[in-house]
Amino acid sequence: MIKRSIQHISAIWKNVKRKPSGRIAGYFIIFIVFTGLFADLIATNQPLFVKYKDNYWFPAFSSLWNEERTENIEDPVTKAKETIQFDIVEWKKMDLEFVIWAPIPWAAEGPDIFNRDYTSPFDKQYSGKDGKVVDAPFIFRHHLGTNQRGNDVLAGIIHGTAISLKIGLLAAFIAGLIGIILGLVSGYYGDSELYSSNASVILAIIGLILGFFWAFITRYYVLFDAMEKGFWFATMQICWSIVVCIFTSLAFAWFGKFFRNVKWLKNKNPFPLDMLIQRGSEVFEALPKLLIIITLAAIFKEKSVGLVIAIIGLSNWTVVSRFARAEMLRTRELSYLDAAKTMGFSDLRILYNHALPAVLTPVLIEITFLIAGSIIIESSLSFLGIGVPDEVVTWGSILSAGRQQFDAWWMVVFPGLAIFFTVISFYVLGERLREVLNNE
Amino acid sequence: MWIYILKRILLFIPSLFIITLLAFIISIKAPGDPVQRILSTAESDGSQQSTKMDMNKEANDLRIKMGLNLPSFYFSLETAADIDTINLILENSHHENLKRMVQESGDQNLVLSWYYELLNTNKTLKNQLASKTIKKTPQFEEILNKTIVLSNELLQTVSKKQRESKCDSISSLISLNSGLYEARISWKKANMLLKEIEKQPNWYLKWIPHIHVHGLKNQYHKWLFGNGVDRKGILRGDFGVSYRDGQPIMDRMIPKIKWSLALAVLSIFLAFLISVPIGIYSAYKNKGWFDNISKTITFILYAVPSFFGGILLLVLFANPDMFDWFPASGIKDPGSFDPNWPLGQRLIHYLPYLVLPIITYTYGSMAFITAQLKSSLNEQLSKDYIRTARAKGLTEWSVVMKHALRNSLLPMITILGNMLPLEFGGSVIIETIFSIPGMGLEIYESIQNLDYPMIIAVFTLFGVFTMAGYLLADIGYALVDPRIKFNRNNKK
Repeated sequence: MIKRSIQHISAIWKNVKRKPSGRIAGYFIIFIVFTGLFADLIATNQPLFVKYKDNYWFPAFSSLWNEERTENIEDPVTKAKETIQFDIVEWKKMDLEFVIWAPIPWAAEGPDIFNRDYTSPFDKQYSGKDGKVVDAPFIFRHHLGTNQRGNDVLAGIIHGTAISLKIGLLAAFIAGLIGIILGLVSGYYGDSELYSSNASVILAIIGLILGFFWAFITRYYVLFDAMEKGFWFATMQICWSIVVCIFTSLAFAWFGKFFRNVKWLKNKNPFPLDMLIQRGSEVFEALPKLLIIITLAAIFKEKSVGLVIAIIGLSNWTVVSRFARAEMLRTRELSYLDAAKTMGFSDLRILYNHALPAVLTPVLIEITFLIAGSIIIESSLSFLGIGVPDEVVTWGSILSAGRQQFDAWWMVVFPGLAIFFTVISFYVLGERLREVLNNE
Repeated sequence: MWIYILKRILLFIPSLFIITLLAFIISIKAPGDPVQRILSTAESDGSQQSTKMDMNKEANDLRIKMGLNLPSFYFSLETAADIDTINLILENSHHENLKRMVQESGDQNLVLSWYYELLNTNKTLKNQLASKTIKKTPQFEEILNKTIVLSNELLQTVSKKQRESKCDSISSLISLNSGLYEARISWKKANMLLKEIEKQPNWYLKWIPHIHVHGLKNQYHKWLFGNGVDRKGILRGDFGVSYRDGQPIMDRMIPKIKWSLALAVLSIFLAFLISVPIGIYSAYKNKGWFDNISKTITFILYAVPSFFGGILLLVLFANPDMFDWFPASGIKDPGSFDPNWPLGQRLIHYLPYLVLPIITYTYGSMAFITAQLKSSLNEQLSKDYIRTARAKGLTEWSVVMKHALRNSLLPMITILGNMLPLEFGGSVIIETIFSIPGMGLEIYESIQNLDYPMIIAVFTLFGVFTMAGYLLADIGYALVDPRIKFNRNNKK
């Protein structure tokens, strides 16, 4: 199935490329994804390659897995001992024999003392050489200026790309996952397909309550401690809790088939799954989401990127589920699903193998728009200083710093343009995808 | 149709319930102890100067007065091991420790008697420190102090390892210093109890669920409906007092609601005024040059986040270096503004301050409305009845403006309802940028100051407004469109 969907996606991409708008947007997105992936190599104050006193190092690369790598070396001539910790030592001041700098030799948080207090990209910029202050050579110039502390704006934007894309893609992924599952199930079963005996329904509800109890109340302190430990711990524990909850409910429902003696208990009725999910998502949609996001992000003591992803993702699933359901309703009428049913395939197999590929592509359009929306929400949040930790540099945080100082127009314009181009290329791609898929 | 409206209102109630529940959960889970916050606000005012003992008693009184000793909801699902009377223990910082110990051991009597024995030890030690009849050397006093601090910490210690090490150090302090004999008995007892607890006699109890029904005497009910004494409950508009200045929240809120609502309504109105003609013309001349241009502009405006647009406007038009046309922030000039002016004069005074914010508010929604109207009008124009109308020989004007437009404006009612939450969400950002004293700025400042009652008040009000917007839009739609059924998804 994965192979097939890759083939499908590459076929769509071929069609999308036919128009310049789709082509430009697509390549731009690929470009920023690469920028985000390799942000630590593109903009870093550690050299890519360096030769120093007969030692050959790749500091930028080795910092990727060992941030605090430390080397003890001995001067071959004077025998003086020296300790170099890669992330702290000031490479630019060292007397290096040979060096290859990163394309942007500045880190997002690495103040340049020569160009503090909002240096404009067109101003004279300085750098230190042999203890003297000289005009900065081209490679050490801040092409998009600096902020008050002398941090390079371009490096900040490059590192902000990584954060924005991470949040946008993962939040859209979470929303997509929940939305597709709920939309598929509610479209496939509808209100009248899923029959269950009264006993099963009652037992499933009891099982749900018990499962919730064992998953979230008995394990309350386990979850609580996991939240303190970090995002991935918390995610794993929460997923485990959800599995426990669902499994308990299903196990209880399975026991329903032993209640054959009482007539009322074994009566089978259609289970209004679709109705329940629809009503639930309607109630959910009526909630003011941006406000909930702002309030929730503000209420947690620890700011974290993971939390922002989770909140944005969880608040957006209704959009995806609506599309997935509509698409599933359309697909359900097609004859190949009937064929699959008559061949006696299990529901799970039909849903995964036959329905999902048909539903996935239209939902992809919605997810593209969702990524753009999530990026806007993320940058708005970090503009307000809510959610993302203070030490993480994002587009929104650079912009918000630029608000304090209107003369530093480069701190407003460039991160703003980065947001604008990213968002608009996702929009254009989504629009182009819609055109292509409607023509298919 | 009336059944539809009734159903829609019935659906409004669970949403309202969820909003209030969410706000309530936030309010009780908010970090920090509300009692301490209120007391420290009072302290910093200088209105109250009190000793530490008084403070404790005062805090406890306040806690009871605020109803924080009550259970939090109508019912609760707990493990059979949990202490159902935990809220009766007034010291908030001891709760987590006790709850954890009870969950692990499953025997609340043991844990509670350990707790009271420990409190006893603590008290004895404190009495010894305070009494003047016994002569104390400075060293002894220091040891006494150290023991008291340790036992205080022990009451709040959550992790098992730290608890053990603290117990050991207290034990050695007490056994080595003969002066501490008074506390010895109770400490020994407490230690024995702790050993019992650590054997986890009823470990299985935490796997057994218990449903407690608390009835109406709970925090949520009182928060909603008031406690019948001094609080009226949020349903009657009493959100309590702000942490920042101790003022009732509702009094501060009303002028701010006015600003936010006025700006939202004005900008929605303007957005409709501008985008409806554009939408009509670009749908009429579909794929013509005008349509292409308006589509491009719509796309671009859509992708500019409001904070970027707002700041860009400020940098361009409120900047002495560029065009210094409008004031940069606020809504009035404190030097010349006189609150006693007649309304018209006040509005004229406000006007230059409001131009940039209103543009920022409007451009996003304008793009949204134009795109929506265009697509819905396009859909109508391709239908059969339009062909019939044209075949009848009607003028283009009456085909588009009378036949198609009327039908395509129907979905606009829903969009009107959807606009409101967008505007509210945007207001947090726009009001912050332009320093407009509305609810958005208020929630931003409250978040900065951790003023939780205020955050919750703004949250609840915005939520209710949003849902009321949806409700009114849906009812309006039902009144206009005779084909309406309850299921939203069948509408398309």
